[in-house]
Amino acid sequence: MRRWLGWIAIAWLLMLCAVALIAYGTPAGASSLDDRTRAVALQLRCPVCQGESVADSPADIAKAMRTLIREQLAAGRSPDSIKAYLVSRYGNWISLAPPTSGIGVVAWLAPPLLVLGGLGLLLTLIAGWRARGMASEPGIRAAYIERVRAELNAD
Amino acid sequence: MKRALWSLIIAVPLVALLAAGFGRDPSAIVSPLLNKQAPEFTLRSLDNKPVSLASLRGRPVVLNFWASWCLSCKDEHAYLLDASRAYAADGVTIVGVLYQDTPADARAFLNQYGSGGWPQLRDPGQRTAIDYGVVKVPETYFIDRRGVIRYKTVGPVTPDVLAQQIPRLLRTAA
Repeated sequence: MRRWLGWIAIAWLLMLCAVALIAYGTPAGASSLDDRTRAVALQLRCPVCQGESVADSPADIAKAMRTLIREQLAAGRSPDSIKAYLVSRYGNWISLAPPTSGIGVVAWLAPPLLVLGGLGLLLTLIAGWRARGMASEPGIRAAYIERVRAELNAD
Repeated sequence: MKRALWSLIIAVPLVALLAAGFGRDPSAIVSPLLNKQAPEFTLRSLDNKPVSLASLRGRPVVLNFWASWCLSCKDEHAYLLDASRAYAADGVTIVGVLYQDTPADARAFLNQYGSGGWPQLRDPGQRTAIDYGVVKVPETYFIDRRGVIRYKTVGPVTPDVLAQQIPRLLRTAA
């Protein structure tokens, strides 16, 4: 019974994660030109700011970039080609996401690898605890019962 | 013993990574345009004449993005004036591009500090600045006779940089 509860809890959590991913993970059909401009600008670093995207910065250069993105989108260019253009002028640095080739791959691979490593560590630790608990339990119980019996007899 | 070894295996690369990361200046950007063809432009100058980079092919170009509101642009301007006098006979052209500035303010600046006579171009919407990957003014691009960017400075150019880079541009063949 208790084991079932554990599995149900895990399934429930996974389902919540899936729902959250669907709800917030993908920009739900960025339809208007403003939304599409913002979606592109959010992926670009404002050149003169500290850790701010082109979408959020009030700096003049960020404004100029937003206008450029807007015009290019209106002219039918794809978000990827606009990003590629800015990367070709400013370098990979302008892109808020690390590149998917070269050293940037480390940044993409490290988090899932760390999560997997953590899960592996947790599972081995739990297995170790359970093995130890099972091995020592009968011994302790026997000694304990022995002691209780001895003390009862002493009375 | 084993535990100490594992700690070392984990700690050493981590410390090395952090040292490499924090030891770097995050605002120092290597321009991807270095040694590439300079982006073309045709812009109107303050006297409303069209100036294109293509029309300057065959001459070394010092392309200077600046603004009248930019303090270090004042120091730099004096060095550019010196350079323009020193290298005019060699065919070196200085070209200024205004960055988020008004023509009136730019004219006032040039009247006060000396115009040097080189073209000062208006760049509506900073399209040319973005095309060159300008982050903040002043930035200066050294373009050779073939239109290739050979060097770039972020921040005011110094007399040393001008004395090094302009002769370098002059040495490259057309």
